[in-house]
Amino acid sequence: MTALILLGIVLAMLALRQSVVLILVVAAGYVHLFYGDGDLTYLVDDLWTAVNRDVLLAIPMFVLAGSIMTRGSIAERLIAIMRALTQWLPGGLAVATILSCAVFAALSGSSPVTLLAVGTILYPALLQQGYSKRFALGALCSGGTLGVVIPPSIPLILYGIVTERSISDLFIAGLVPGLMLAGVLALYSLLVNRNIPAEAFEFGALTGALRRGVFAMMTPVILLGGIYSGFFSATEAAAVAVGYALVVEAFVHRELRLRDFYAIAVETARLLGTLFPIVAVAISINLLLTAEQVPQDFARWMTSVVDDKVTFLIVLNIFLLIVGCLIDIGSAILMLAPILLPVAMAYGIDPIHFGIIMVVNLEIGYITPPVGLNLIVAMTAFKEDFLRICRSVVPFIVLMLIVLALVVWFPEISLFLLD
Amino acid sequence: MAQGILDRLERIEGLVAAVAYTAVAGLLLGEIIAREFFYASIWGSQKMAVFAAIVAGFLGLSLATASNSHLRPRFADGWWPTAWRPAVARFGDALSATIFAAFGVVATLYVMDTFANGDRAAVLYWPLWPIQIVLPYVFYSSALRHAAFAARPALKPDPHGLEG
Repeated sequence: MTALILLGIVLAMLALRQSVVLILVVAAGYVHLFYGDGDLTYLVDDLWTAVNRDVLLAIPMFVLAGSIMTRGSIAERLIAIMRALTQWLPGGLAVATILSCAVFAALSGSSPVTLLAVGTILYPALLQQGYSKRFALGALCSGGTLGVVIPPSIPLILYGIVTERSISDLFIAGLVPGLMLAGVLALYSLLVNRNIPAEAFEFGALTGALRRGVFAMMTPVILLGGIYSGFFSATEAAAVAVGYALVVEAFVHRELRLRDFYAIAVETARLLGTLFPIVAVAISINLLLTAEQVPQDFARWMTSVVDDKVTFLIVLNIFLLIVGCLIDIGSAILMLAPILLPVAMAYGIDPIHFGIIMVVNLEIGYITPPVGLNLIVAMTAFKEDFLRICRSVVPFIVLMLIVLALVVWFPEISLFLLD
Repeated sequence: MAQGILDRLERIEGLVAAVAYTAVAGLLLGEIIAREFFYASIWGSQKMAVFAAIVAGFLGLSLATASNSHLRPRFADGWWPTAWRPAVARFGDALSATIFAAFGVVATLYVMDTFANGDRAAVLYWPLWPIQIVLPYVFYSSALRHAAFAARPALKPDPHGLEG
């Protein structure tokens, strides 16, 4: 009965146009009152405990670094390199689009930011060179999602925080699946646009682009190299990303002034203001659920109902794909990962592999209606009809589902670098 | 008048949040430089960075309220007749103000408990309550903004971010 009342409260709040953070706060308060100790100050105490941890520092720093790079000229310089590298291929600009998304995603850690930064430059260029609008929209929307898996990835950080797994291990595990996704999307882009004429390869253009973009290209090398060599932790890497982006944009590219940095920092605070409280409330709910043994009970129930791993994986993937269609990736990870992980572990699934399965599933949610964030961003940025954008991503979704199946079926794809 | 007060509040909160994030980056970078180049450590740098990030993160909640950019599921908007929607939006803001104010009271009680108990931060041994005060502050600040939006809907900006 108390669960039904909670559901009623959530539905009423949705109808009364309440934000996700308020709905979560009220739900958390209700859970504390009726399932916990009945004292709401414990909720605030859990909130404080949830945010008072070092590992949370990585999120604002990576978002800040991504914002600095987006405001500066790093995206433009990366795209120039990718264009120079691929222009000799028939359909080369299509491949450059996917590769630019993959590399910029590795810098910014954000899907919509990647879509906007790369799309603003390449969408008009693709149309101008005779690529179909449908392909251009599909490639940018799906290429923009690559940042979810390619490290440094905010969803992987959230998964690591909420399940208390190593963020560095998750980054390593996400590398190959992310590159596979990028490779498959690039290959498809090449095949579907093979009739678009190639341009002559210009060595001078490539060296010029590399010279202009060398500092931009070094960013992922420094960050990932620093983490994997043990020079600094994933959290410290985020601060290094901020420092490096600032120095490069302010002193090398000369695209950033102090006033710009202030505006970026305020905008980052505003952006994180939508995420940070949700993270805090979700962690506080998870603390309570864990104390009440809810995930363990759920795991026991699930293993009694579904007795083999394959069936569980099929059910899990269908469930996560549906969730990805309805809820944003951050909320989905924060709410579901702590509950689903003990179940997955009961079937012998590695927690790091499970994180990658979860994130790749939810990544597809970025380009599935009704709340696919990249679809909405593309609709606004490129002023296109929502249905047209939805149709444009269908072949890309099919390809991503194939990669997902491989990632699920072969744990080695995610784990062999760790081994 | 009301617009002026809200704008000033937003500017101050934005400034504090920007300074706090700069401090986070500076402290973490300083720690790496101290460790790798001087074989030393900046006392409590990580903990100070965490506190700065908490202040900035929670002030972000208030800034997001000010710019109407909180994630909000929209699928239920169509449950109401079109003519009712402006009234529902105002009622929604009044409800948000009430909830934020209520949690502001709870957070105030919590901080008073911390003060009374003399709780201190790990590593730094600083009293916790001056940092924790950001919790009730942002709840009250957000309540104030929603109350203003309910009283005068013209003050409410168009959605700044992307709604879910």
